[in-house]
Amino acid sequence: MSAKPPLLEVRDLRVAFPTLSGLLYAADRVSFTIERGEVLGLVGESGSGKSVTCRAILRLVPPPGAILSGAVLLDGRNLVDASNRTLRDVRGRDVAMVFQDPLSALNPILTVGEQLREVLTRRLGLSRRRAAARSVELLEHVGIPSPQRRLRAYSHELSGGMRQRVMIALALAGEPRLLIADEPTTSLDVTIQDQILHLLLDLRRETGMSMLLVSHDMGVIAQTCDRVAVMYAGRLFETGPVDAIFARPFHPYTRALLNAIPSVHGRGSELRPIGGQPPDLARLPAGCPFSPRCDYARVACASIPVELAEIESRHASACPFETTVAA
Amino acid sequence: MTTGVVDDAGHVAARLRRAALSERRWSNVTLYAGVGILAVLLLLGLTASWIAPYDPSALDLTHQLQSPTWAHLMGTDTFGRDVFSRVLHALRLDLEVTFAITYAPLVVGIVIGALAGWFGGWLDTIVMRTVDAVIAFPFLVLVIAIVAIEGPGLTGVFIGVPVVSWALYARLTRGEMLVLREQDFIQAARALGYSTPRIVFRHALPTLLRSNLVFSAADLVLNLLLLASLSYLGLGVQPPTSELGAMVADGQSVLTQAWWVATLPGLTIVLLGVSFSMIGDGIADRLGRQFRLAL
Repeated sequence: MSAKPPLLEVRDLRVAFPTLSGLLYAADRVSFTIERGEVLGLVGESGSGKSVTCRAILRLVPPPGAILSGAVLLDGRNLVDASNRTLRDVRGRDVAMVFQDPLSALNPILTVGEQLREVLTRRLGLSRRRAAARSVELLEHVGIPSPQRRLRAYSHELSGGMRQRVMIALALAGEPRLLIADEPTTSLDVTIQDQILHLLLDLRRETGMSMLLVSHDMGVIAQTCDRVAVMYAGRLFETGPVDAIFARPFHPYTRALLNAIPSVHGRGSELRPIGGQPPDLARLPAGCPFSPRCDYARVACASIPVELAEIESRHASACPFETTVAA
Repeated sequence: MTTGVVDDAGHVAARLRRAALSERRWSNVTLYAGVGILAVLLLLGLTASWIAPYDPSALDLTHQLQSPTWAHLMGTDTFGRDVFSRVLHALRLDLEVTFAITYAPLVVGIVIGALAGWFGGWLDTIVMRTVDAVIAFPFLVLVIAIVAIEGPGLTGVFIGVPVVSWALYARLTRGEMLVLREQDFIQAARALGYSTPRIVFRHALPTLLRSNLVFSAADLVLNLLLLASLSYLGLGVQPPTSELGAMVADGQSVLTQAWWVATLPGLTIVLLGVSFSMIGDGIADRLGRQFRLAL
C-alpha cells in the first residue's frame, strides 16, 4: 500500500430513485477504490447498478434519481458535496467518460472536428489553430486513418468502431486521470470489441491514467482489468485482484457468473446459466438479494447483512459462507 | 441458373437504388421549387418601389376596370389603379408582416420552451400552464378585442399573433427537450464539463430547431391567410395601402364585370402559400431522410 491516497475512493455510495412503492436503491452502500494507473472492472448483469454507479461519480445521475449518502473522493476531494463549478472543472478534465453506444453519445449534427474543437478550445483553452492540430493528433492517437478527412464527418457517416474511437478521442482530449468506460464495447462487433479494448489498454499504458471499465462480460474483464468488483442488485458482492477472482471466487454469484462463460477449451465442462431472474430492486428479498437464485442458499441467508468482508489480502466477499463455497 | 440469380439480385439492387434516388430527387424538387417561387415573389416584393410601373395608389378615373393589357399586366381596379403595381407593393407588405409575426414568436417560444424542458420543476409548471391558458383563449376574439381597443390596422395582427403563437413553439420545443435531455449525447456533453447554457443552446437547440422550422412553414401559411382574412374583413390593413386580402375584398363587388381585380391578388396569395408549404414539406422530407440515415 502506498502512502498516497488512492486516485478515487467511493465510500458507502447510495443512489436512490423515488418510486410509488418507495425508494429504490440503484446503488446501495457501494465502496471501492481505484489506484493510480489501475484498471478496475465493474461487472454485473443488466440493471445491477453499474451505470448508475459510474454516473454518480461525476454526479450525473439522471433525475429523479439522487445520491442519498456516501462520498466520492477524487484525490481526497469529495465530489458529492462539491460546488457545481468544481464539478464542471473535474468533468472532462480529471475524469472523462466513454459511453456504451457511441452513435447516440456523439452529437448527430456536429462534425467530429467541431466536437473535438469545442472540448479543446472551451475546456482546455487552446487556440483554434492549435485545437485543429491537436484534433488530428488525437484522432491519429486512437487509430483513425486519414484523420484530416474524418474531422469533417458526422457521426452517422462513421462505422461503429470509428465512432467509439472518436468518443475515446473526445474523452482523452482533456488528458483525464480517470477514464470511466461504461460498456465501451457492448454495441460493437466482436472483432472491433477486441481492437477497442486493446486501444484502451495501450492508452492506459502510455498515459498512466486509471480506468473504471464497466462490463457484463467476464471475458472482457479477464483480458483487461487489474482488479474486479462484482455488482448485484445495487450492491458489491465481491472485490479483488482479477487473478484471485477468476481462480478462487469466494461469492457464489461470482462463481455462477464464471460458470456462465462459454469456453473454447472446456467443451466438456457444462455451461451453466444462472437460474431465475435478476431481482426487482423495488422488492428485494430480506438479507442477501441473491439468495433466491443461489445454489448454496440456506435459512440464514434471509437475515444476513450484505457487507464486504476482506478474506484474503485485498480480496473481499459479501457472502459470510465463502469458505465452504470455495472449498 | 446461378447467373440468373445473380442477375436478379443485381436487378433488384438497381431498382432499389433507383427508387431511393427518385424519392430523394422528388423531395428535392419540392423544396427547390418552393424556394424558387418564394425567391421570385420575395424579389418582386422587395423591389416593388423600383419595378412597379405605376404608383399603387394613383387614381386614374379615365381607365377604370380595364382588362389586363401590356400597359396594365393585371388590369385596373374600380379606381383605375394598376392592379399589378398594387400586387407588387402588397407582396412586400404581406411578406414582411408574415415573416415578422411568424419568426419573432418562434425565437421567443423556442428559448422559453427549451429552458422549461431543460430545467423542469416550477419553471416548467409555470410556463406550461401559461401556454395552456394562451392556447385555450379564442384567438380571433383576442385579435378583434385588440382591434376594438386600437382601431383597425396592423396593430391587432402584430400584437395578437405573437401573443398566442409563441406558446405553440414553446410547447413543441419543451416536449422535444424532455426527450433530448435524456439523450446520451447531451449526457456526454455534461460529462465533458460544458456549462448548462452551452449545452442547452449549442448542443440541444440546433436539434430542436429542425422541427420548429418545419412547423413554422405551416405557420407562415396560416399567418399569411390570417393577415389576408383580417384585411378582407376590414380589420387589418386600411386603404389606400395595398394588401392582398384587402384587394380581394375590393374586387369582390365587381367580380362579374372585372374578374382580374379580385382573382389575380387571390392567386398570388395561393402561390405564396403553396411555396411556403412546399418548402416545409421539402425540409421535413430531408430531415426525415437524414434522421433515417442516422438511425
